[in-house]
Amino acid sequence: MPKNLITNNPYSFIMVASMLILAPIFFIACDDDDAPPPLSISFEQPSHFPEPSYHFDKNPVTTAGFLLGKKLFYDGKLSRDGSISCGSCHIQAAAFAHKDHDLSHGVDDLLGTRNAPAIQNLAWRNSFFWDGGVHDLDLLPLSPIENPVEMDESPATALDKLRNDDEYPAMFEAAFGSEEITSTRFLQALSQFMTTLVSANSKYDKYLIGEQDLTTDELEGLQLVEEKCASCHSGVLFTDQSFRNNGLPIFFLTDKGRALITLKTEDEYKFKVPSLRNIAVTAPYMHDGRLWTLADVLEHYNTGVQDHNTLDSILKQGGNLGIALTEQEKSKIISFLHTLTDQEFLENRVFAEF
Amino acid sequence: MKTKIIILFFFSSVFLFGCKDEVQPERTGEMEFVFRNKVNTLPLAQNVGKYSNALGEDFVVTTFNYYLSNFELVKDDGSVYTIPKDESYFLIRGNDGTTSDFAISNIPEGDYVALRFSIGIDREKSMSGVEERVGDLDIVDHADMYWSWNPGYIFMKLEGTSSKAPESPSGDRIFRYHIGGYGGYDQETFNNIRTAEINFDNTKAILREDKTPRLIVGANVAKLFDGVNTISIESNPTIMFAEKSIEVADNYEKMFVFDHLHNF
Repeated sequence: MPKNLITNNPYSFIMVASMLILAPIFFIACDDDDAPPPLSISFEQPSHFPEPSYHFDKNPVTTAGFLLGKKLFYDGKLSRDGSISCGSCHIQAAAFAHKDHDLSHGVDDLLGTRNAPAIQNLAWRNSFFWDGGVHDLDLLPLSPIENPVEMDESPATALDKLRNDDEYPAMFEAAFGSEEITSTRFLQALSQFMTTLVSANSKYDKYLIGEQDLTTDELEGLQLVEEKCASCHSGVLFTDQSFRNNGLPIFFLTDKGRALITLKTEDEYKFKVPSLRNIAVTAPYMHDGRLWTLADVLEHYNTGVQDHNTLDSILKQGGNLGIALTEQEKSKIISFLHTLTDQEFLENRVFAEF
Repeated sequence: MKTKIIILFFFSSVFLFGCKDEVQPERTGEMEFVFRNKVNTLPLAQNVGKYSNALGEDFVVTTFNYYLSNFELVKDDGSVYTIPKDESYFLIRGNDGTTSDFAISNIPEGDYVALRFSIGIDREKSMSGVEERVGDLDIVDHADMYWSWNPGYIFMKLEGTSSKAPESPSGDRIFRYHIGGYGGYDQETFNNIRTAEINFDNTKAILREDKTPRLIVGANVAKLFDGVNTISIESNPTIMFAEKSIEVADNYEKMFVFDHLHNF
């Protein structure tokens, strides 16, 4: 009987044929363990991190907000000539720092004056930029957009471009409930993307939560970091977020750092203590990217520190400049610093441009 | 009959309670404010008028914008009505007459003798979240009146040309005074918020539900050069986020003067 039914129905053959063709596809799809589940993004608090300082109560992370923020982050439309996006200078493989660039080039290949810092764990940061000028992540993006050597665009023009775009109005509606593109929504979406960039799965993190062991060298390096570096690179975030003059030769420095914000002479040549997380992939180093290897950085602290009236007191204890380090100690510290590399973060497809 | 009485009783008690609870709402009206930019006694002709300051330095004004906030009106009995804070931020742009002529409503009826306001944006609002920066405080729409690298509003922006200003590579001679600074978010820096008081010169603004007084205030740009401090274009062609800005702020404190008042 079923056979008759099939043969009597002119569409049956097509139906059966398509079922036969499609069946293996469905079968494979269903059986595929790698099939991505529907994307669901929220801010995830690592159990071994402190409470974040970002105001998630005012701007909770949603999947649609994250996706909008990510699109904005990678969109050259925010720049005057369409050539530069946030992601041009903040590259995921370098923990969103600018790999191999001491300074970064913006529109018309104009050079900035400071090294593009990593974008990671911003939810725990209480100030932004090397001089700490900005106190709220939501207020940060206007600066690179307006900066004539970065994106050189008027923020109002940038928003008009989004309003006239085919995709953005619907994405703003998905994220915020209506197509209206306001400055608040624009900035909040960028923050939703950036606060989600959490790096907390390095080998060191796995050691901390008891999932993985460190080698003897790495453990000795950790001990040395705790003894010699942790007065500034403190805590699980590896920064106390203070501003310090770390003794870089200032003879060709015109950038007075923190003093540009506080207008205090005692803050001249002070810059934000950066985190050490993912440090092995964020070269070059220092606020102007002048040092290219971790060995160079440690040698600076060993023999390169220059005295100055704002030099941090930790770097001139007992009349000695810098932090004395043997070759062996340097090598162990570098071994440990590599355990702060978080491959899951650097390779997470969810954060990637393409 | 019984039901009628009950119904009557029910309604009368409603009326009784109604009368007890009712507070006579305060009658309110509107007041209009006009800010006219001037150079001493003359109206400022932006982009075209050529003027000179007390040092004899010539200048043409190309930009003259300022933020006013926290309006208060003083009654003839000395009591003060404060306009709700969030309805009291005004960006006046010299090249846009619609910004310098505005009305404030819901002001209690009264005879008012003075207006007080701040020049600048208070610290609380200067540090507020982006969602609280709307209208004249929108930092995207008014990005030219906001420092993004060291966040804060530019309270007063005066730009122009002068033969005393240094020549730029493009041949222009431009002076730029961008004055702001609310005191710093964590480290104390200078505070260039100033307060002005405009007394209505022994007249009163008669404000009623059906009477809308119109106050005209002059903003004398010449006072920025020749006030309690003398500012030289030649010596200081650019004043922005630096100590020198305090001298300009002390000058703009006295820049606003009563011009006249219309009662209707």
